[in-house]
Amino acid sequence: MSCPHLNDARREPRELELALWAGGDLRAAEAARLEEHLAGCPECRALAEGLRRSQAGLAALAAEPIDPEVLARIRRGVLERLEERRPRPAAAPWLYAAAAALALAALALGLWLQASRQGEAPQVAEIAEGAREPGSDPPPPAPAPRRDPSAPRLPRRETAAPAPPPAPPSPEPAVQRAAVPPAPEAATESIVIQIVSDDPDIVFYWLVEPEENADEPVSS
Amino acid sequence: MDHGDWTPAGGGAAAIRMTAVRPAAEAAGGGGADPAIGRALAGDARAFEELVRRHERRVYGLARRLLGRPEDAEDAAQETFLRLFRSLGRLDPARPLDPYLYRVTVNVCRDHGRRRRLRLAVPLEEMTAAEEPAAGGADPAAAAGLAEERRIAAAALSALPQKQRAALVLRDLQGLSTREVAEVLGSTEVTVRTQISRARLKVREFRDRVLGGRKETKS
Repeated sequence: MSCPHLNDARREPRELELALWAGGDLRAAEAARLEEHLAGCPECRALAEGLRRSQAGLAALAAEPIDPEVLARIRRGVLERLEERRPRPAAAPWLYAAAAALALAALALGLWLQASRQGEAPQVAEIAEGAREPGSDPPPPAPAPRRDPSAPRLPRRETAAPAPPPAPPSPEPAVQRAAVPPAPEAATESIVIQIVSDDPDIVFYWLVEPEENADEPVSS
Repeated sequence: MDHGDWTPAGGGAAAIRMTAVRPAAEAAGGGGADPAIGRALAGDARAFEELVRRHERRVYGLARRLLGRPEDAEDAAQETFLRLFRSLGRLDPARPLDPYLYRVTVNVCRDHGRRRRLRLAVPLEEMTAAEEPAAGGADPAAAAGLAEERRIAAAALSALPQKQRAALVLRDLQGLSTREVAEVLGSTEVTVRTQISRARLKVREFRDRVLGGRKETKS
């Protein structure tokens, strides 16, 4: 080691300075001073030459071509992953507002159906009785008998219009059915209101259950 | 694939705190305000794809040199762009995107490196073999020599400590100034100058060892 700068305590600073110089990171004045030293110092020149070659290797690496297919794969991957995360229309606030409005409407409909069932149930009996005995006065309403828990539950139509004359089997007593207004009849069965949104994952159901005594015979 | 409209989270939020620096790749079209940011922020999927196209080479190139393996670099580049998408609302469209992307890429690669810390070092042959151009051309010997230099340089990079590698790759391969490197890495210019000069010395030493070892083997 002949160079005093590389052979004493200042070795590392000198090496670091050479490394900065090799990358063009020294100020002009500093670079000029170093180059002056390099002209007379074979050891530093050798180190500088080694740095120049390794810097050329880094430059060759930086210039290495990139396969366009790799870039296309990255782009595809990014766009596909974004597509997977794409917000669904259900996330729009207006849809939630519309769903809430529909739910309120369903609630109002349910309340109305319940109210109409309570008000119309006796009328069902009257109409049914009237259909059985035309021209006669309607009998006073009898108290509803307690259900025998062991007894099988019968469909309301059979108890509301008992003892029809023997007739060929018919699926529905057409006369009675026609005499009963549709709303009260509907109120005796469970009603399911389905509110469907654009998003198949969001469906609102409103279930209107008939009251327990709605299944009881209203007359005997 | 349907590239309809979608809107990134946080649209319209405050701008990032990143200091605007002149990206070294400005000449390549990477600097200055990017109107595609605003359009992507408004939900234009095509605009975001345009952003990816514009920056994918730099992002992948940086990740490739920070991580070594091409497949790791692909993952990191994708993650970088996904983070960009999530942050669109916090970006200032009037500022260049490169400093932000460089910083995110470095962070993603650092996280990636932590997850794979236990993995074996990348073999020298894997460093550039995957994307090496086909041998041949006018001077096959020169092409082989260039490929060899690239492999050695890539291996030398992978042997560097993480911070020195990041500083050197940003400075010598991506072409940022030392000030820009300091801003991307959240460091000082003095620290970066020390990091890159030490890294250059190690690369030189690595190269000398590899080539010296081969000469000894041949003789």
